[in-house]
Amino acid sequence: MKLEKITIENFRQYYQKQQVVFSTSKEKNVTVIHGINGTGKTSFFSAINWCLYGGNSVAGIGELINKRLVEEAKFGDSIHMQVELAFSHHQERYRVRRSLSGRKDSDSVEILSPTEDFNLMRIDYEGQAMKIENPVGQINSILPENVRTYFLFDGEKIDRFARPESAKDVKYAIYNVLKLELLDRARKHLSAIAKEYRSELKSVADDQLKRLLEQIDQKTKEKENAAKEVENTQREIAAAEEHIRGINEKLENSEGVKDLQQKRTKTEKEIKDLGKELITVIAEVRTVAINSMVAVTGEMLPEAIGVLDQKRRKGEIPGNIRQQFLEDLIGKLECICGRPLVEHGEEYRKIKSMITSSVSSTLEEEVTRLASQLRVIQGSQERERENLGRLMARRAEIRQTQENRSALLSDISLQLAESPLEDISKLEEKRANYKEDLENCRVEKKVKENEIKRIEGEIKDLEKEARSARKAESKAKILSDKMDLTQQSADAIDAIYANFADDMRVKIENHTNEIFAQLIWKEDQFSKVQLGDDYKLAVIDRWGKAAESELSAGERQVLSLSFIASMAKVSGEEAPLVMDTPFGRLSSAHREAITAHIPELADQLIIFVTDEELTGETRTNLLNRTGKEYQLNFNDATGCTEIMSC
Amino acid sequence: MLRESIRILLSQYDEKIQKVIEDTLDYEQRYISFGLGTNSSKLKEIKQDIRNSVDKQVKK
Repeated sequence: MKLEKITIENFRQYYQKQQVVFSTSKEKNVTVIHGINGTGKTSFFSAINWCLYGGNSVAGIGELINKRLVEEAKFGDSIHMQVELAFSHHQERYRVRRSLSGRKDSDSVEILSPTEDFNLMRIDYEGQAMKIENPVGQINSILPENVRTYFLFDGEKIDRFARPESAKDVKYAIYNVLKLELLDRARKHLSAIAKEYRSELKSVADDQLKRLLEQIDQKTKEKENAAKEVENTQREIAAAEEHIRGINEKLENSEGVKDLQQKRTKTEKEIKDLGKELITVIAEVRTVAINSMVAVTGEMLPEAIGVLDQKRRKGEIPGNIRQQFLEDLIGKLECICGRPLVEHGEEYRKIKSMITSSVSSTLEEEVTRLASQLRVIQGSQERERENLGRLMARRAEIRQTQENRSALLSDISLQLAESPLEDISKLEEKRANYKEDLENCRVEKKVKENEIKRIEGEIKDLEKEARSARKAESKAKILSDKMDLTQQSADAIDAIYANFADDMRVKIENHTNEIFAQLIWKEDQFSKVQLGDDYKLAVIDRWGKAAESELSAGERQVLSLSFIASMAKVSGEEAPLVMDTPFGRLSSAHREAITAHIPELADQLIIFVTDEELTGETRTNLLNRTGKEYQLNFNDATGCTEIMSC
Repeated sequence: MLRESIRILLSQYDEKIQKVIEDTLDYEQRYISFGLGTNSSKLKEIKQDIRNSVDKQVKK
């Protein structure tokens, strides 16, 4: 979707008909709308949202109609408000219009029986308009409503993706923007239909098959129950974590134990970071060991090199002397030192015997090459062995540090539990209980997850058995084939879903990384952005540690923006980026970096800014890419805003 | 983007499975686009459409 033009008529402080043409140029793809606070930037932004998605997309629908218009109207006069957007999408042009009409009926400014009218027209190449019968569906297929907030957003609230508790939002955003809902629905429905076929099959099957199908049903139920239990346990985990976070905050704000709690928070973070490092170190150990085959080859290499050297010394394998060279000496009857070689003389015989004992030049070269390659391998193995030793030492060191830190945590916990302040000891007791709950829940969750895997294996075996049983029964054959095909399709889409979701997560992570590196001014402070399996968006600092707690509000905003831009890129969604006051909380360094790069991150950028947001280099950066620029002027006398082209 | 990626991932499966999944995704897409995803009578329609697609592939 590329917005071409908006016509606002009597919407909030926009009195009568006013028009803005957006820049659609590729090179100058930015439209800037300036306005100081209170001039109607957010109302303009709301007008776009309202026109596309209606009442649910803006707050306070009763307040939408321009007050001056209502005031000026006589009793019984009809009142009309409308927003129209012209846009293009995939080479098609559209006009969408939403309007609200009513009648002034009393002294108050209330509008009686307001009705929304919504029309979407496709404009053909001759400029003829064709009405689209399902405008809501069509708008949703162009830019789904559940996705719009990722493209049309309030800049000041954008940091939500970068908050520590935001994993759910991030996952939901990916789910919506990448249209995973489509896959999710398909897999649910295919599984349900496979179940229906199984039930139909039972009515026509023989005893053995019935028994197998019942077992499959039973196992499927067990699996569903286990999955529900995993979900419940996950909820309990989240609740316990929330309680612990709350208690931590209370302890951090309690005089007397503040330092102790801060020390505990720091130590817990250290243990967590050490845990992550340990995983990396163990993975490196495995890689080094596999790549270098250190453990397997051990002393074999020096032994092999020794054997080759010994054979060469004994003359069983000659050195790298070319046979041709010896033959040339004999041919010329002249030694390398210039002395003549007397035919059948002592020197002559010696060289002749060297030629006779010499192996073929090909073998000679191969042996020389082999020995040299073995030496290279030996050298690299020595380095890898050192590397392995270093990694093993680090592994032991991490484990030891983890033990020490855990002991420190126990000590802190004991001190807090024995605090003379009753409140503190009670809080600590509660915290310990929640910690225990948390641990139990995590164990329980793992157990259930393993149980699901086991049941899945059992179901597969039973299905295999049932398949053979069904083949013997011609009556059930067709149903059986249908059931198999549906189940296989459901399994396939299940695998595709997992594969695709993971693939997209990694792609989004990579793009977020690239964009974040461009936008953040502390280039060296942060090494990368991670979007883990748990969909938590994390920034890793130069020391390899998670840095989310150190991020400033501006940095969180930059991280969120990077995430949104990367989602747009990965989804391939053709949509404008419409941002309401995006730079308010950003320092000048971030503003400059963002304005230098953001026009490249979207096909079209429409931003609403205050004068303070757009100064100096920030302004220069953006204006270089600006195709259209407008100023919102609020008239204090009329209470209305006029849109002026700059 | 999604459909292209799915098509690539689908190519490793049997042709009949590919067809059933392609059809299912078309039906789901249609209902999502029309904002009818949670309408119960429409859900029955989707399921019937999927069953018809399965029938067609089994009869082939």
